[in-house]
Amino acid sequence: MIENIKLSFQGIRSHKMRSALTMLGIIIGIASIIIIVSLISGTSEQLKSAMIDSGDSTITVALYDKEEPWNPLDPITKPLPDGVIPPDSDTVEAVENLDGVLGATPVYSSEYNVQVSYNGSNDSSVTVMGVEKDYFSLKNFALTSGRYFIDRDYDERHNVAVITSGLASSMFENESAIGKTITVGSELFTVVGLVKEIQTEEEINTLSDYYMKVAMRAHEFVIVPSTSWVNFGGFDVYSSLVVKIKDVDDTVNVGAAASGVLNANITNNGYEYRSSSMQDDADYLENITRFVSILLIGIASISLLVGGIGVMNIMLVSVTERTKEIGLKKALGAKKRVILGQFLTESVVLTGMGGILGVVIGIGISYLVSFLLNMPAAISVPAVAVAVGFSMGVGIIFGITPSIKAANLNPIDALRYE
Amino acid sequence: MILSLKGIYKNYLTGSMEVPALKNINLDVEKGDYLAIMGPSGSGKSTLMNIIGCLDKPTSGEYLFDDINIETQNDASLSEIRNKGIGFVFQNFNLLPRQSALENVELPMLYAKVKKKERREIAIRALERVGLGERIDFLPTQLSGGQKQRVAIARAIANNPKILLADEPTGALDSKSGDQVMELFSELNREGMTIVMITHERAIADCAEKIVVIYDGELKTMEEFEQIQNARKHGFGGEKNA
Repeated sequence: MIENIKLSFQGIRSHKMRSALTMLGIIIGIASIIIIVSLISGTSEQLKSAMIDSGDSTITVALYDKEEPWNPLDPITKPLPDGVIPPDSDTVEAVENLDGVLGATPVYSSEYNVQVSYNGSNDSSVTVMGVEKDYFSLKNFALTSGRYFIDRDYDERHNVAVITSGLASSMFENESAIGKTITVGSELFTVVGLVKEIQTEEEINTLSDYYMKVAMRAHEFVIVPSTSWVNFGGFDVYSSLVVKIKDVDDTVNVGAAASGVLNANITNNGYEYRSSSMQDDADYLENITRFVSILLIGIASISLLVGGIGVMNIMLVSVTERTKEIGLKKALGAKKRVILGQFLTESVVLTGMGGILGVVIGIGISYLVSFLLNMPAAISVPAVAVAVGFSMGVGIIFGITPSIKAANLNPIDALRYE
Repeated sequence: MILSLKGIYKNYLTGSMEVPALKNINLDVEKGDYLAIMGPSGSGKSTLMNIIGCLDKPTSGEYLFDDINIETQNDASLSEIRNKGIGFVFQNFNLLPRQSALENVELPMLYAKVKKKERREIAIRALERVGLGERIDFLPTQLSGGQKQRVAIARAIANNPKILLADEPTGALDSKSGDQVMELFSELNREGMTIVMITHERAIADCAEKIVVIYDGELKTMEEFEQIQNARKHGFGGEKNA
């Protein structure tokens, strides 16, 4: 084996140019795979860790139209369909009693469909919610300034609002948000508190910041007391249920159980309650990136395939060139599998070297791109191992035919070959 | 008896015709023999060499190599017989060009799975034996023709084979280097090595203890061959006169 590897390196060294060109196909294929994987996984790792770090351990169970399962049903634009029972005190209690649930609170909520404006500038990509008194104790918000709602806000139906800091900075820029009057729907509300859900990067100067911002945008909220909601909401049935769970890893199971409680009362087959959480969003994002990377890796694999064909071609040339050497070795007692092993080793060494060079170049370019575009790059060790292994596999697959050809040469003919 | 060929025939298929290359060859070689097989080109001597060297199997007849019936051996065991039993010396040396003299000599021992250290020692001794102890790290391109052939002989004897099988060993050498190679063969034979040498040169064949001639695929003694030659000469002469 060691002899074979030594022989392979001798062979490769004696045809430097040819070997380099042959390896190039493999190098390009492997390098592109490494670049794609490290940049994509770098970005999604960063996003995911930002989401997980937020410590969000709540899920939202909302009503979905089965035919349009992307966004929850918005009662502002569409009245509650027949045969659907919204969350009430009984179902809330039933959900609270589920295993793994710390608490639950019903909310009125409308995504994007309630106009929020300040001084005439609109911000329509905001979720407006009417919440009960226990909402803030369940949701992991940090109050950065001002206050939460007090009992009097509920009792006297005060038009007060707590908004997320991202929204505040885009609406009021450098001014303090507390005490400002904003228009929510048709009503004027006074901002009394500022909350922060996730540490967002304030400046957008890189692609990843932007990516981040877009992902976080959906989570900008204007929150008002439930009793004030009806002032502009136009509907007075709870649209969703916020459930605080004990264990973040449990989101899917608890979400399904909570949805089950609400779905038990539905007689209309066109609708269902479903849970969503930050974890789901992260998973969704991961699915998209996975899809994109599979696509890109597919393209890179074609270059690897072309590289493999190049290896096969050069190995066939190499076998023909060394016919005499093969004949001699067979005459001296080399068995078929010795010859097979020698050529297969050469092919694997060639592609393996190409693979290692490809990984090195790929990592280099990843860091360069990461540095130039300020994108995060995550070099995944398994991806590197798979890439090198894969390139060696290419060596075996495309080296086997030439090697068998070499092993089966007739020593008499081979010795006489000129 | 090291080699025993009984009633060996070898036919080649040329198109749809079977052309006989060897006809009823009977040949015995004993341990310590030094045999030259002579013959003009096209006489079938390469075919015979391939059969003796276990590179090819006869169409019919029985060939025993060191009491092993070659007919019944598969490819792998034929490789092993060639590896351990036969030391090949070729006309054009057939050294691996990118390997040093030492590595070339080690090659058959590599296939015999001799350990690296032992392999090295034996190879050095073999190179010293052929007078190249000073040049073990030289590449074939740095050696003269005679030196290359001596490396090839060192390679042939390294695995301590039953016979040394040489195919026109001086064919690519000048007369001085050729003489040195023949001298080396004689020495090796005196030390007990069995040698079978194929050549078309009478002077080279005369170095052997015994000469047989292959003519039109049949084995003849030297006397028989000379009679045939004389008869042909007269035949041609007669035609000329007529």
